[in-house]
Amino acid sequence: MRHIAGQVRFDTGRSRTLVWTKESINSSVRRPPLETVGSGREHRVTISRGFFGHHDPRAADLPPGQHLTHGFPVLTAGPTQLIPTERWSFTITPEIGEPKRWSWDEMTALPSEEITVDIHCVTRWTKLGTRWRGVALDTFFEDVETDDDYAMVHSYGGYTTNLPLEDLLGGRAWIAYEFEGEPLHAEHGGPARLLVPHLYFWKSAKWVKGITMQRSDEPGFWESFGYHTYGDPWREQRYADD
Amino acid sequence: MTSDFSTPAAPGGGTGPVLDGNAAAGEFAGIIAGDPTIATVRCAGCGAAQAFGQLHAYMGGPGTVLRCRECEAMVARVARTPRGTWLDLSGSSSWSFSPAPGLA
Amino acid sequence: MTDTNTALGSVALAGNRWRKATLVGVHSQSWHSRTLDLHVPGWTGHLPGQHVDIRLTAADGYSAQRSYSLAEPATPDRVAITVDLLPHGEVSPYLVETMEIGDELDVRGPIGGWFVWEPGDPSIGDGPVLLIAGGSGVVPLVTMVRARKRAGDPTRTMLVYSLRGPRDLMYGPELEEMSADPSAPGFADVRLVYTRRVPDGHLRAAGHLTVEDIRPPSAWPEPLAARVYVCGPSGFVDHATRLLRTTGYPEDRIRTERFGATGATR
Repeated sequence: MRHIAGQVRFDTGRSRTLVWTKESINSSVRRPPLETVGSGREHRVTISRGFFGHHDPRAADLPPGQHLTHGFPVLTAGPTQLIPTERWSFTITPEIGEPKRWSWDEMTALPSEEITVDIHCVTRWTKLGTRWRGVALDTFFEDVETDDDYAMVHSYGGYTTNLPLEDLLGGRAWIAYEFEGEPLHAEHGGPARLLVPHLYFWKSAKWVKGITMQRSDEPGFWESFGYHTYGDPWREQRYADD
Repeated sequence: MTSDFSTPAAPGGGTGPVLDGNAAAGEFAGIIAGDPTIATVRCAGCGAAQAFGQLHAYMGGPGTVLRCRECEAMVARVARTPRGTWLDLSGSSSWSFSPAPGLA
Repeated sequence: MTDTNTALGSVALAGNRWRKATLVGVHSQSWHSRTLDLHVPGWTGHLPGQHVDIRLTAADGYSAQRSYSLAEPATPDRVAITVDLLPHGEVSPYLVETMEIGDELDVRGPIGGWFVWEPGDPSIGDGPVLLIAGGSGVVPLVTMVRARKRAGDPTRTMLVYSLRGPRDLMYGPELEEMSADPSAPGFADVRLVYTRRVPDGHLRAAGHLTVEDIRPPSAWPEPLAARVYVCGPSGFVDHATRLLRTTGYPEDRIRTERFGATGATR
């Protein structure tokens, strides 16, 4: 377990120095955010008395640096995609061989399951106990032959994200189309999104359209732009080089 | 301008929490010398020229994405991380900073 | 007249870093909004229409950031913002209901030199200027009108202010005074466009902004303003822009600023 020590000055009218280690992160002392300056050096942050916003300050068993949140923030890299189910399809394309395509009716006829999972966004909010219905990627991959170890996930609207094939399998990922018992709303990625809760939520691509198999781990939209290529919240792999 | 955008837009769908280049300008502080909102940006996708302030801005996620208001192609993005700042202008064919006619 | 590019250059560079701001005054604007007066040592000034980024940080490090238009023309060391309460918002409930005199937050700015009306701007010439506000979009536009009055600028100005109902009206007494006497300095035409509930005696029925509402007053020499500023929620800005284009406004006369969605549910 890596040992991290650091110091941040808070300016609340009284000076206070906090020293924290990785061990203390999951206690009541949370790691305060560093100012994002290029060199990463420490910087002042003003604490606003009585501010909580949408987060619950009580300690919980969260990945390092995360905060528990109420609500479900809508964060997006582009306009909400509105894809009617009649037009929707999902395609897995191996590097060699025929792509395999499912229509909405074909997809929803596959065996599905209801799962309850915690989700962790790289912007530091965590939502516990979210309930989804979806089809496990294992089910789709029963019909696909591939020797490739990596996958690029594509969304309607052009978003992409990459991950190893093994992280899509073994009951760890779904094509999800219901949230909290209702059809998944477009603003949260409906009609269907990828759900990979063991990685940061930017990997759970909204408006999922297909997966292209790849021989190497080519980076997707955020992975090619400062963010970690794998993104394990429990090892706090937020940024490239973490 | 009040933009308390953590709340979602109309649950039925719609355009989502879209702001504009004015709201995103602060993210460019220290990256672009001077004021980005006076730039005229040409989209590499459809060729439309527009004021930076008119670009559609998608904020609050891992980075800020700026899109052409005509075709929604991405014209720029910026990500500020503790490891460094990233800037991508590849979706813009040009940024022009000349003052408007009449200004000194 | 100051060189606008020089003024913008210096305020843009100043806008690079976060500074501590202390609340020193509050006054209520409507049933669900209030103006916060913040003391920001070293604040060098701003132009009408510019905004600040606000950052709130909780004791455990959780932070949220939003943007607010500057509500007053520049005064040394002083920044004012008018905040509208969004019931499910993350930041506005703190700013409108919780924050007390002496409390602190971080500000960054001033930001933005495009959505600005500096009195005497040569690109506007003799005007006139049309201001179109949707809800809390009225904040930067009233700042522009105040700056114009302070500078003694005679540019003909009309403010069209779209709002849901009387409870949502901000700057009521000031708008009345502003539009009372056409011969008084700082006069501006003010048109209130109520979309849902209309006060007794109000002549215009409730309804969304129409082409009629943005038609200039008969006193204007031209059918079109030399410059239009539109500010409000995204949907409102799109709607108003469509009306302006329909009326014949060329693209380069229109400047817009979008706020986030209002009245949203979870």
